[in-house]
Amino acid sequence: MNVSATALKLATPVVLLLGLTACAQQSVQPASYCGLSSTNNVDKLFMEASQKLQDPNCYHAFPEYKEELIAAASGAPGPENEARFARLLRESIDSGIISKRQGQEIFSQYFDPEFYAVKSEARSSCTSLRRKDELYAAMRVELAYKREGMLDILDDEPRFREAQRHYSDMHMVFDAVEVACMQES
Amino acid sequence: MTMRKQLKRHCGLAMACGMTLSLAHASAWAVLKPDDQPRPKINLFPTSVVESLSETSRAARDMESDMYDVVAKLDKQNRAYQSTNCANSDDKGCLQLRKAIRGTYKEMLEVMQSSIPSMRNSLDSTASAMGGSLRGEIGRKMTPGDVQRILAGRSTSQQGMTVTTTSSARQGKLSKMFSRYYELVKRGGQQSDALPVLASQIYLDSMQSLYYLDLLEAEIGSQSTELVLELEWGELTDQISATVGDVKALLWGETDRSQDILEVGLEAPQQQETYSDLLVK
Repeated sequence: MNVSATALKLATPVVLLLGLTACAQQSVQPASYCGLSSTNNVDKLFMEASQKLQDPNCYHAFPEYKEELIAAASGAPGPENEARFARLLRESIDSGIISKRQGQEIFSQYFDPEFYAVKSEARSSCTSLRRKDELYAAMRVELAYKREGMLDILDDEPRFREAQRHYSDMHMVFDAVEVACMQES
Repeated sequence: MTMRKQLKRHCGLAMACGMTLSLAHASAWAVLKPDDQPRPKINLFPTSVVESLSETSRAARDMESDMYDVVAKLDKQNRAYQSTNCANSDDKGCLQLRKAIRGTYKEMLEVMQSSIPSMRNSLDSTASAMGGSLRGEIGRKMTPGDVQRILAGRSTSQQGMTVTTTSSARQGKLSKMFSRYYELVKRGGQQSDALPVLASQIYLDSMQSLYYLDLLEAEIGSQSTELVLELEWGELTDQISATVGDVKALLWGETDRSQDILEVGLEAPQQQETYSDLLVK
Protein backbone atom coordinates (compact mmCIF):
# COMPACT_ATOMS: atom_id res chain seq x y z
CA MET A 1 0.00 0.00 0.00
CA ASN A 2 2.79 2.32 0.98
CA VAL A 3 4.76 1.34 -2.10
CA SER A 4 1.87 2.05 -4.44
CA ALA A 5 1.17 5.37 -2.72
CA THR A 6 4.78 6.42 -3.18
CA ALA A 7 4.73 5.37 -6.84
CA LEU A 8 1.58 7.38 -7.37
CA LYS A 9 3.18 10.45 -5.76
CA LEU A 10 6.15 10.17 -8.11
CA ALA A 11 4.12 9.47 -11.20
CA THR A 12 1.66 12.36 -10.83
CA PRO A 13 4.09 15.23 -11.56
CA VAL A 14 5.51 13.33 -14.53
CA VAL A 15 2.06 12.79 -16.00
CA LEU A 16 1.10 16.41 -15.40
CA LEU A 17 4.30 17.60 -17.00
CA LEU A 18 3.75 15.40 -20.04
CA GLY A 19 0.16 16.59 -20.30
CA LEU A 20 1.14 20.27 -20.12
CA THR A 21 3.79 19.78 -22.78
CA ALA A 22 1.24 18.17 -25.06
CA CYS A 23 -1.19 21.07 -24.54
CA ALA A 24 1.51 23.59 -25.21
CA GLN A 25 2.42 21.88 -28.46
CA GLN A 26 -1.18 22.05 -29.56
CA SER A 27 -1.88 25.77 -28.83
CA VAL A 28 1.42 27.51 -29.57
CA GLN A 29 2.13 27.42 -33.26
CA PRO A 30 5.47 28.18 -34.79
CA ALA A 31 5.83 31.76 -35.98
CA SER A 32 5.55 30.66 -39.60
CA TYR A 33 2.24 28.90 -39.02
CA CYS A 34 0.15 31.99 -39.80
CA GLY A 35 2.58 33.46 -42.28
CA LEU A 36 1.76 33.73 -45.95
CA SER A 37 3.99 32.23 -48.58
CA SER A 38 6.22 34.47 -50.63
CA THR A 39 4.43 33.83 -53.88
CA ASN A 40 3.89 36.58 -56.41
CA ASN A 41 0.59 35.09 -57.45
CA VAL A 42 -1.93 37.56 -56.04
CA ASP A 43 -4.87 35.23 -56.36
CA LYS A 44 -3.05 32.47 -54.53
CA LEU A 45 -1.99 34.87 -51.81
CA PHE A 46 -5.55 36.07 -51.22
CA MET A 47 -6.71 32.47 -51.08
CA GLU A 48 -4.01 31.62 -48.56
CA ALA A 49 -4.93 34.58 -46.41
CA SER A 50 -8.56 33.59 -46.58
CA GLN A 51 -7.77 30.03 -45.51
CA LYS A 52 -5.49 31.09 -42.68
CA LEU A 53 -8.13 33.47 -41.38
CA GLN A 54 -10.50 30.57 -40.92
CA ASP A 55 -8.22 29.44 -38.12
CA PRO A 56 -8.82 31.49 -34.94
CA ASN A 57 -5.13 31.10 -34.13
CA CYS A 58 -4.36 33.37 -37.08
CA TYR A 59 -6.95 36.09 -36.47
CA HIS A 60 -4.24 38.24 -34.95
CA ALA A 61 -2.39 38.21 -38.26
CA PHE A 62 -5.12 40.16 -40.09
CA PRO A 63 -3.21 43.50 -40.09
CA GLU A 64 -0.09 41.80 -41.46
CA TYR A 65 -2.13 40.06 -44.14
CA LYS A 66 -3.65 43.36 -45.12
CA GLU A 67 -0.24 44.95 -45.57
CA GLU A 68 1.16 41.97 -47.45
CA LEU A 69 -1.83 41.79 -49.74
CA ILE A 70 -1.64 45.50 -50.47
CA ALA A 71 2.02 45.10 -51.38
CA ALA A 72 1.29 42.09 -53.55
CA ALA A 73 -1.67 43.72 -55.29
CA SER A 74 0.42 46.79 -55.97
CA GLY A 75 2.75 44.54 -57.91
CA ALA A 76 -0.13 43.41 -60.11
CA PRO A 77 -2.54 46.34 -60.32
CA GLY A 78 -5.95 45.90 -61.88
CA PRO A 79 -9.68 46.28 -61.26
CA GLU A 80 -10.00 42.66 -60.10
CA ASN A 81 -8.10 43.53 -56.92
CA GLU A 82 -11.08 45.46 -55.62
CA ALA A 83 -13.22 42.32 -55.61
CA ARG A 84 -10.42 40.36 -53.94
CA PHE A 85 -10.17 42.83 -51.10
CA ALA A 86 -13.93 43.08 -50.79
CA ARG A 87 -14.24 39.30 -50.51
CA LEU A 88 -11.55 39.06 -47.87
CA LEU A 89 -13.07 41.90 -45.86
CA ARG A 90 -16.53 40.35 -46.00
CA GLU A 91 -15.15 37.00 -44.83
CA SER A 92 -13.30 38.74 -42.03
CA ILE A 93 -16.44 40.57 -40.95
CA ASP A 94 -18.47 37.35 -41.05
CA SER A 95 -15.85 35.54 -38.99
CA GLY A 96 -15.83 38.34 -36.44
CA ILE A 97 -12.16 39.14 -37.00
CA ILE A 98 -13.05 42.75 -37.68
CA SER A 99 -16.27 44.66 -37.14
CA LYS A 100 -18.43 45.77 -40.04
CA ARG A 101 -17.40 49.35 -39.31
CA GLN A 102 -13.71 48.46 -39.48
CA GLY A 103 -14.30 46.65 -42.76
CA GLN A 104 -16.11 49.66 -44.19
CA GLU A 105 -13.38 51.95 -42.97
CA ILE A 106 -10.63 49.96 -44.67
CA PHE A 107 -12.54 49.53 -47.91
CA SER A 108 -13.62 53.19 -48.04
CA GLN A 109 -10.20 54.53 -47.24
CA TYR A 110 -8.65 52.70 -50.15
CA PHE A 111 -11.34 52.42 -52.78
CA ASP A 112 -14.08 55.00 -52.23
CA PRO A 113 -13.56 58.44 -53.82
CA GLU A 114 -15.45 59.93 -50.89
CA PHE A 115 -13.72 60.43 -47.59
CA TYR A 116 -14.45 58.20 -44.63
CA ALA A 117 -12.91 60.76 -42.28
CA VAL A 118 -15.57 63.25 -43.39
CA LYS A 119 -18.43 60.77 -43.28
CA SER A 120 -17.65 59.86 -39.71
CA GLU A 121 -18.10 63.47 -38.49
CA ALA A 122 -21.45 63.50 -36.77
CA ARG A 123 -21.61 67.11 -35.57
CA SER A 124 -22.73 70.20 -37.47
CA SER A 125 -20.20 71.77 -39.80
CA CYS A 126 -19.77 74.88 -37.65
CA THR A 127 -18.87 72.69 -34.67
CA SER A 128 -16.78 70.15 -36.61
CA LEU A 129 -14.76 72.83 -38.33
CA ARG A 130 -13.50 74.23 -35.05
CA ARG A 131 -11.11 71.30 -35.39
CA LYS A 132 -10.63 71.77 -39.08
CA ASP A 133 -6.89 71.12 -38.91
CA GLU A 134 -7.48 67.64 -37.50
CA LEU A 135 -10.08 66.91 -40.15
CA TYR A 136 -7.75 68.11 -42.90
CA ALA A 137 -4.90 66.00 -41.52
CA ALA A 138 -7.14 62.92 -41.54
CA MET A 139 -8.22 63.72 -45.09
CA ARG A 140 -4.61 64.06 -46.18
CA VAL A 141 -3.74 60.68 -44.71
CA GLU A 142 -6.78 59.16 -46.37
CA LEU A 143 -5.88 60.69 -49.72
CA ALA A 144 -2.55 58.84 -49.47
CA TYR A 145 -4.46 55.58 -48.87
CA LYS A 146 -6.65 56.34 -51.85
CA ARG A 147 -3.63 56.94 -53.99
CA GLU A 148 -2.34 53.52 -52.97
CA GLY A 149 -5.72 51.87 -53.43
CA MET A 150 -6.87 53.50 -56.63
CA LEU A 151 -3.60 54.07 -58.46
CA ASP A 152 -1.24 51.39 -57.17
CA ILE A 153 -3.74 48.59 -56.57
CA LEU A 154 -6.56 49.23 -59.05
CA ASP A 155 -4.72 51.33 -61.63
CA ASP A 156 -7.86 53.46 -61.77
CA GLU A 157 -6.69 57.01 -62.38
CA PRO A 158 -10.13 58.54 -63.08
CA ARG A 159 -11.33 57.35 -59.71
CA PHE A 160 -8.32 58.84 -57.98
CA ARG A 161 -8.84 62.13 -59.81
CA GLU A 162 -12.38 62.10 -58.51
CA ALA A 163 -11.09 61.65 -54.97
CA GLN A 164 -8.72 64.55 -55.52
CA ARG A 165 -11.59 66.73 -56.70
CA HIS A 166 -13.61 65.82 -53.65
CA TYR A 167 -10.61 66.71 -51.56
CA SER A 168 -10.13 70.15 -53.10
CA ASP A 169 -13.86 70.95 -53.30
CA MET A 170 -14.36 70.07 -49.68
CA HIS A 171 -11.38 72.16 -48.69
CA MET A 172 -12.91 75.15 -50.42
CA VAL A 173 -16.36 74.66 -48.92
CA PHE A 174 -15.03 73.95 -45.44
CA ASP A 175 -12.73 76.99 -45.58
CA ALA A 176 -15.66 79.21 -46.55
CA VAL A 177 -18.03 77.71 -43.98
CA GLU A 178 -15.44 78.04 -41.25
CA VAL A 179 -14.93 81.75 -42.04
CA ALA A 180 -18.70 82.28 -42.20
CA CYS A 181 -19.20 80.54 -38.86
CA MET A 182 -16.39 82.56 -37.28
CA GLN A 183 -17.84 85.84 -38.57
CA GLU A 184 -20.85 85.33 -36.38
CA SER A 185 -19.05 84.39 -33.18
CA MET B 1 10.99 111.28 -49.63
CA THR B 2 13.70 108.85 -50.42
CA MET B 3 13.79 106.83 -53.60
CA ARG B 4 13.85 103.61 -51.62
CA LYS B 5 10.68 104.52 -49.79
CA GLN B 6 9.02 105.54 -53.01
CA LEU B 7 9.96 102.26 -54.60
CA LYS B 8 8.55 100.40 -51.63
CA ARG B 9 5.27 102.26 -51.87
CA HIS B 10 4.94 101.69 -55.58
CA CYS B 11 5.75 98.04 -55.11
CA GLY B 12 3.03 97.87 -52.51
CA LEU B 13 0.43 99.24 -54.89
CA ALA B 14 1.58 96.97 -57.67
CA MET B 15 1.30 94.03 -55.31
CA ALA B 16 -2.15 95.01 -54.14
CA CYS B 17 -3.33 95.33 -57.75
CA GLY B 18 -1.75 91.99 -58.54
CA MET B 19 -3.46 90.32 -55.59
CA THR B 20 -6.80 91.78 -56.58
CA LEU B 21 -6.14 90.47 -60.04
CA SER B 22 -5.37 87.04 -58.77
CA LEU B 23 -8.89 86.82 -57.47
CA ALA B 24 -10.12 86.82 -61.00
CA HIS B 25 -8.87 83.30 -61.48
CA ALA B 26 -11.88 81.74 -60.06
CA SER B 27 -15.26 80.68 -61.09
CA ALA B 28 -16.95 77.49 -60.20
CA TRP B 29 -19.56 75.17 -61.46
CA ALA B 30 -21.51 72.51 -59.82
CA VAL B 31 -24.62 70.78 -60.94
CA LEU B 32 -26.34 68.15 -58.92
CA LYS B 33 -27.54 65.06 -60.66
CA PRO B 34 -31.11 63.94 -60.26
CA ASP B 35 -31.56 62.35 -56.89
CA ASP B 36 -31.20 58.64 -56.68
CA GLN B 37 -30.89 58.84 -52.91
CA PRO B 38 -32.07 61.42 -50.44
CA ARG B 39 -29.73 64.37 -50.07
CA PRO B 40 -30.04 67.33 -47.80
CA LYS B 41 -32.03 70.12 -49.39
CA ILE B 42 -30.56 73.58 -49.04
CA ASN B 43 -30.96 76.93 -50.65
CA LEU B 44 -27.71 78.82 -50.71
CA PHE B 45 -28.84 81.48 -53.11
CA PRO B 46 -31.84 83.36 -51.82
CA THR B 47 -32.95 86.47 -53.68
CA SER B 48 -30.82 88.74 -51.47
CA VAL B 49 -27.64 86.95 -52.55
CA VAL B 50 -28.56 87.06 -56.22
CA GLU B 51 -29.34 90.76 -55.98
CA SER B 52 -26.06 91.47 -54.20
CA LEU B 53 -24.12 89.62 -56.84
CA SER B 54 -25.82 91.55 -59.58
CA GLU B 55 -25.07 94.81 -57.76
CA THR B 56 -21.41 93.87 -57.25
CA SER B 57 -21.06 93.00 -60.88
CA ARG B 58 -22.54 96.40 -61.79
CA ALA B 59 -20.29 98.27 -59.31
CA ALA B 60 -17.20 96.55 -60.72
CA ARG B 61 -18.28 97.42 -64.24
CA ASP B 62 -18.78 101.07 -63.24
CA MET B 63 -15.36 101.20 -61.65
CA GLU B 64 -13.74 99.74 -64.72
CA SER B 65 -15.65 102.04 -67.01
CA ASP B 66 -14.64 105.12 -64.98
CA MET B 67 -11.03 104.14 -65.22
CA TYR B 68 -10.95 103.24 -68.85
CA ASP B 69 -10.27 106.73 -70.22
CA VAL B 70 -7.67 107.75 -67.70
CA VAL B 71 -5.75 104.51 -68.07
CA ALA B 72 -5.83 104.80 -71.86
CA LYS B 73 -4.44 108.35 -71.57
CA LEU B 74 -1.73 107.21 -69.21
CA ASP B 75 -0.84 104.37 -71.48
CA LYS B 76 -0.51 106.74 -74.44
CA GLN B 77 1.73 109.14 -72.50
CA ASN B 78 3.84 106.27 -71.28
CA ARG B 79 4.36 105.00 -74.81
CA ALA B 80 5.43 108.48 -75.94
CA TYR B 81 7.86 108.68 -73.03
CA GLN B 82 9.42 105.35 -73.91
CA SER B 83 9.62 106.01 -77.66
CA THR B 84 11.37 109.37 -77.22
CA ASN B 85 14.01 107.96 -74.90
CA CYS B 86 13.08 110.44 -72.20
CA ALA B 87 14.28 108.28 -69.36
CA ASN B 88 17.00 110.13 -67.39
CA SER B 89 16.86 113.04 -69.83
CA ASP B 90 16.75 116.66 -68.64
CA ASP B 91 15.29 117.86 -71.91
CA LYS B 92 12.49 120.37 -71.34
CA GLY B 93 9.98 118.35 -73.36
CA CYS B 94 10.84 115.25 -71.40
CA LEU B 95 10.41 117.08 -68.10
CA GLN B 96 6.97 118.24 -69.23
CA LEU B 97 5.99 114.78 -70.34
CA ARG B 98 7.19 113.35 -67.05
CA LYS B 99 5.11 115.87 -65.17
CA ALA B 100 2.08 115.09 -67.32
CA ILE B 101 2.47 111.38 -66.69
CA ARG B 102 2.61 111.96 -62.96
CA GLY B 103 -0.48 114.12 -63.16
CA THR B 104 -2.41 111.47 -65.08
CA TYR B 105 -1.17 108.79 -62.74
CA LYS B 106 -2.47 110.80 -59.81
CA GLU B 107 -5.77 111.23 -61.63
CA MET B 108 -5.95 107.46 -62.08
CA LEU B 109 -5.37 106.92 -58.39
CA GLU B 110 -8.10 109.43 -57.58
CA VAL B 111 -10.58 107.70 -59.85
CA MET B 112 -9.76 104.39 -58.21
CA GLN B 113 -10.05 105.94 -54.80
CA SER B 114 -13.44 107.41 -55.53
CA SER B 115 -14.72 104.11 -56.96
CA ILE B 116 -13.57 101.99 -54.07
CA PRO B 117 -16.25 102.94 -51.50
CA SER B 118 -19.22 101.87 -53.63
CA MET B 119 -17.36 98.76 -54.72
CA ARG B 120 -16.60 97.99 -51.10
CA ASN B 121 -20.22 98.50 -50.00
CA SER B 122 -21.42 96.22 -52.69
CA LEU B 123 -18.83 93.53 -51.96
CA ASP B 124 -19.56 93.84 -48.27
CA SER B 125 -23.20 93.19 -48.84
CA THR B 126 -22.44 90.18 -51.08
CA ALA B 127 -20.00 88.74 -48.55
CA SER B 128 -22.46 89.28 -45.74
CA ALA B 129 -25.40 87.69 -47.57
CA MET B 130 -23.32 84.78 -48.86
CA GLY B 131 -21.70 84.25 -45.45
CA GLY B 132 -25.11 84.20 -43.76
CA SER B 133 -26.33 81.68 -46.27
CA LEU B 134 -23.33 79.39 -45.86
CA ARG B 135 -23.49 79.64 -42.09
CA GLY B 136 -27.21 79.01 -41.87
CA GLU B 137 -27.63 76.41 -44.57
CA ILE B 138 -24.39 74.45 -44.23
CA GLY B 139 -22.66 75.50 -41.02
CA ARG B 140 -25.58 74.84 -38.74
CA LYS B 141 -27.83 72.49 -40.65
CA MET B 142 -25.35 70.07 -42.15
CA THR B 143 -22.52 67.80 -41.08
CA PRO B 144 -19.34 67.69 -43.18
CA GLY B 145 -20.61 64.31 -44.37
CA ASP B 146 -23.77 65.93 -45.72
CA VAL B 147 -21.62 68.41 -47.64
CA GLN B 148 -19.67 65.55 -49.12
CA ARG B 149 -22.86 63.79 -50.19
CA ILE B 150 -24.02 66.90 -51.97
CA LEU B 151 -20.69 67.37 -53.71
CA ALA B 152 -20.66 63.72 -54.70
CA GLY B 153 -24.04 64.10 -56.34
CA ARG B 154 -22.84 66.38 -59.04
CA SER B 155 -23.61 65.34 -62.55
CA THR B 156 -21.19 64.33 -65.23
CA SER B 157 -23.29 66.36 -67.56
CA GLN B 158 -21.66 69.59 -68.46
CA GLN B 159 -24.81 70.80 -70.16
CA GLY B 160 -25.25 74.45 -69.59
CA MET B 161 -22.02 74.79 -67.72
CA THR B 162 -20.25 76.84 -70.33
CA VAL B 163 -20.50 80.40 -69.30
CA THR B 164 -21.32 82.40 -72.36
CA THR B 165 -19.14 85.42 -72.56
CA THR B 166 -21.61 87.97 -73.75
CA SER B 167 -19.51 90.79 -72.47
CA SER B 168 -17.83 93.32 -74.67
CA ALA B 169 -14.09 93.35 -75.10
CA ARG B 170 -13.91 96.23 -72.66
CA GLN B 171 -15.46 94.33 -69.83
CA GLY B 172 -12.87 93.99 -67.08
CA LYS B 173 -11.84 90.98 -65.12
CA LEU B 174 -13.39 91.96 -61.84
CA SER B 175 -16.81 92.66 -63.30
CA LYS B 176 -16.46 89.60 -65.52
CA MET B 177 -15.78 87.46 -62.49
CA PHE B 178 -18.86 88.67 -60.67
CA SER B 179 -21.09 88.68 -63.72
CA ARG B 180 -20.02 85.10 -64.36
CA TYR B 181 -20.90 84.23 -60.79
CA TYR B 182 -24.22 85.96 -61.24
CA GLU B 183 -24.96 83.96 -64.37
CA LEU B 184 -23.97 80.71 -62.71
CA VAL B 185 -26.13 81.43 -59.70
CA LYS B 186 -29.08 82.38 -61.89
CA ARG B 187 -28.86 79.07 -63.69
CA GLY B 188 -27.81 76.91 -60.78
CA GLY B 189 -30.07 78.61 -58.28
CA GLN B 190 -33.12 77.47 -60.18
CA GLN B 191 -32.31 73.92 -59.24
CA SER B 192 -33.66 72.57 -56.02
CA ASP B 193 -30.25 71.48 -54.83
CA ALA B 194 -27.59 73.92 -53.80
CA LEU B 195 -24.17 74.68 -55.14
CA PRO B 196 -21.81 74.75 -52.17
CA VAL B 197 -18.59 75.05 -54.15
CA LEU B 198 -19.85 78.03 -56.10
CA ALA B 199 -21.19 79.66 -52.94
CA SER B 200 -17.87 79.10 -51.18
CA GLN B 201 -15.91 80.50 -54.08
CA ILE B 202 -18.07 83.62 -54.21
CA TYR B 203 -17.81 84.11 -50.48
CA LEU B 204 -14.04 83.65 -50.28
CA ASP B 205 -13.45 85.85 -53.33
CA SER B 206 -15.66 88.58 -51.90
CA MET B 207 -13.85 88.46 -48.55
CA GLN B 208 -10.45 88.56 -50.22
CA SER B 209 -11.51 91.33 -52.58
CA LEU B 210 -12.61 93.38 -49.57
CA TYR B 211 -9.25 92.85 -47.95
CA TYR B 212 -7.33 93.91 -51.02
CA LEU B 213 -9.60 96.88 -51.68
CA ASP B 214 -8.67 98.15 -48.22
CA LEU B 215 -5.00 97.61 -48.96
CA LEU B 216 -5.36 99.34 -52.30
CA GLU B 217 -7.14 102.31 -50.80
CA ALA B 218 -4.50 102.77 -48.11
CA GLU B 219 -1.73 102.52 -50.68
CA ILE B 220 -3.40 104.98 -53.04
CA GLY B 221 -3.75 107.44 -50.18
CA SER B 222 -0.06 107.39 -49.39
CA GLN B 223 1.03 107.47 -53.02
CA SER B 224 -1.19 110.45 -53.77
CA THR B 225 0.56 112.41 -51.02
CA GLU B 226 3.96 111.55 -52.40
CA LEU B 227 2.92 112.50 -55.90
CA VAL B 228 1.82 115.94 -54.78
CA LEU B 229 5.25 116.49 -53.31
CA GLU B 230 7.14 115.13 -56.30
CA LEU B 231 4.93 116.33 -59.09
CA GLU B 232 7.40 118.94 -60.26
CA TRP B 233 10.72 117.21 -60.19
CA GLY B 234 10.38 113.54 -59.35
CA GLU B 235 11.81 110.81 -61.55
CA LEU B 236 9.47 108.36 -63.18
CA THR B 237 9.97 104.91 -61.87
CA ASP B 238 9.43 101.48 -63.33
CA GLN B 239 7.01 100.89 -60.52
CA ILE B 240 4.58 103.41 -61.99
CA SER B 241 4.67 101.53 -65.27
CA ALA B 242 4.27 98.27 -63.43
CA THR B 243 1.27 99.58 -61.52
CA VAL B 244 -0.32 100.86 -64.70
CA GLY B 245 0.27 97.45 -66.24
CA ASP B 246 -1.44 95.78 -63.31
CA VAL B 247 -4.37 98.14 -63.44
CA LYS B 248 -4.73 97.50 -67.17
CA ALA B 249 -4.71 93.81 -66.53
CA LEU B 250 -7.32 94.33 -63.85
CA LEU B 251 -9.49 96.26 -66.28
CA TRP B 252 -9.13 94.32 -69.48
CA GLY B 253 -7.34 91.20 -68.49
CA GLU B 254 -4.36 89.79 -70.24
CA THR B 255 -4.37 86.29 -68.86
CA ASP B 256 -7.82 85.09 -68.06
CA ARG B 257 -7.68 81.98 -65.94
CA SER B 258 -11.22 82.25 -64.76
CA GLN B 259 -12.29 79.16 -66.67
CA ASP B 260 -9.79 76.93 -64.88
CA ILE B 261 -11.95 76.29 -61.90
CA LEU B 262 -14.87 75.38 -64.11
CA GLU B 263 -13.14 72.09 -64.75
CA VAL B 264 -13.11 71.21 -61.08
CA GLY B 265 -15.29 68.45 -59.79
CA LEU B 266 -17.64 67.88 -62.66
CA GLU B 267 -17.81 64.13 -62.85
CA ALA B 268 -20.26 62.14 -60.86
CA PRO B 269 -18.92 59.14 -58.99
CA GLN B 270 -19.80 55.75 -60.37
CA GLN B 271 -22.33 53.95 -58.28
CA GLN B 272 -20.55 51.06 -56.69
CA GLU B 273 -23.56 48.90 -56.06
CA THR B 274 -21.38 45.82 -55.91
CA TYR B 275 -19.66 47.07 -52.79
CA SER B 276 -22.51 48.91 -51.16
CA ASP B 277 -22.16 46.84 -47.98
CA LEU B 278 -18.58 48.05 -47.62
CA LEU B 279 -19.34 51.70 -48.24
CA VAL B 280 -20.70 54.14 -45.72
CA LYS B 281 -23.69 56.08 -47.01
